[in-house]
Amino acid sequence: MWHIYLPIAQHSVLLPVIIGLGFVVGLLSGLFGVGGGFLMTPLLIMIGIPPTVAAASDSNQIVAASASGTYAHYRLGNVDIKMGLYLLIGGIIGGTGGVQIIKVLRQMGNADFLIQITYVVMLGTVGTYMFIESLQTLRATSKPVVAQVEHRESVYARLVRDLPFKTRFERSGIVLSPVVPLALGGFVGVMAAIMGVGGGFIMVPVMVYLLRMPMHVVVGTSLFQILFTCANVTIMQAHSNRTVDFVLALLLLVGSTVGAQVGARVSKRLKGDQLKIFLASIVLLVMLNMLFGLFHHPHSLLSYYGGD
Amino acid sequence: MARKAIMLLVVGLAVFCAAPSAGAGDIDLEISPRGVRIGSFFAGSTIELSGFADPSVDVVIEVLGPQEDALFHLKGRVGPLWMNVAEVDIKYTPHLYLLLTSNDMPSGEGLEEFGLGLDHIETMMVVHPASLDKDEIFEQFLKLKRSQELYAEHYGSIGYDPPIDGRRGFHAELFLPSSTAPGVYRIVATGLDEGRVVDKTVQDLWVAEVGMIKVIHDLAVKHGLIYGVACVIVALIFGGLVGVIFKRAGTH
Repeated sequence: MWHIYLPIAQHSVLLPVIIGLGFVVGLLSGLFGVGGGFLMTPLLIMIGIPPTVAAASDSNQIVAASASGTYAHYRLGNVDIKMGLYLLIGGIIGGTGGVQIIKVLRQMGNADFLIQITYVVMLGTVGTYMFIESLQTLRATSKPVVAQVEHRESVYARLVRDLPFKTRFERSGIVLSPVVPLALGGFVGVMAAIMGVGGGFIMVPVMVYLLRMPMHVVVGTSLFQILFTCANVTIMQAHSNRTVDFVLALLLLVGSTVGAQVGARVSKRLKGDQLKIFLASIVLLVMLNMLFGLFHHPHSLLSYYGGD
Repeated sequence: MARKAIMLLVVGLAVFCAAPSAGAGDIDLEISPRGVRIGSFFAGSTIELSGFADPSVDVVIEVLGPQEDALFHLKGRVGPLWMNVAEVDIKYTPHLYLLLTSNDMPSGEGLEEFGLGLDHIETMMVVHPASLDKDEIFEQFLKLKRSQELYAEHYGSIGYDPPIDGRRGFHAELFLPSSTAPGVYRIVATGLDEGRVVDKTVQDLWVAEVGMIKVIHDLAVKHGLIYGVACVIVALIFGGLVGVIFKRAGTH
């Protein structure tokens, strides 16, 4: 009675488990502006969904969750559409390049190693940096400000300052050359293609630390960008690999769309740095899990091709 | 005329002597139901197997799924890390393999000599590249298949009834897991007596997707692009609707 059959995964699943998973990941999506692919795909694999189907179907449900989340954040004035479009264009160009890099690496036979190491390094770096930085800010704001410390301008800051074609991004309240979001979007696109994820957990720190956008605008804008990225991935996966399971995606999105709305409301009540510490903790947990997987003897040394 | 009659008698006698007599090893096998429909709420299916055989015959039943040729990643240690180190092509193995025996045969030992059991499946399996250790690959293959409940041995799961009129009834139940793929499955009942195979009976069991599951599967396989676009549109509508519902709920 509680089981439902997935036509592409060719596997039966428990309804409450899938809807519950969708809700939890949707909640994170609404809270942090991440698609949640880096979390959902391993969880789906754990309950027996073939890895390729898990990743592709997750992209499909992220379309719904990010549409719901983007709409909620847009009403709150938290979506910088102009910035999102520049990042998206950069992401598409970078993603296309990343796919070519993976093709070359696969021919050389080192792709899987690179993907896993990239995951661990990226998750570890992003998670640790966000965690420490947010913790320091939270501690600093709890103490009275005694004096303003003058920072020396970094090479990155000077480079960004000297770039031409500056334009104002109203929602984010910053003036910046479009070259910066295009280049950073491209970088995230390359990483996302290599790692096979939407890239939200890289995009969020990029927006916060490199584009200096306010955290609440970061969440809405990231969801806006993820919406288009995942729509593209869903169509490509359905067309090329036949791995999108619509029934699985539908069940996940029943939970995730509601979760995203709840997450967007909860995020209003939390401080930006509290949000960052939560996200950093989740990113670090996923990284530790992957690291454990690299050292731990697998149950079977064989896995279906395209799985991991 | 008389010569022709004698000839017919001789041929008839020869045919009669060559064919195994009823009750001397013949197995009658019935399966119920004869097919499995995979619908929206399919969570696996139980199949009842029954039949008759000579009282001295021990029955072994195998369920073999459609042949599956698949490509796998093989993990190995690279320093302290477990990595995909090779691609392995495995051919001529069934998608599903279930083995059922009676209490008289508490293990699968010795079945291979009759062309039965997992050892026989390994014999049939072809691994590429051939330089890999086939025993090790089969062991890992079994672990993977067993974790999916697609390969299993159920020793002692065939029960016998008391003999009536020189025939003994047998019965068993088998469970096909939800990961059973559509296709035609072969249910093979083999009769063993005094260390030799005395009969082999094969019945087909069909497994097919029906209703909405079939419609979605066919659309995904035959019209991938349309299917992908439809998936995105439905997701957008669904996400938007939830957004509107929450907006209304928030304003009240």
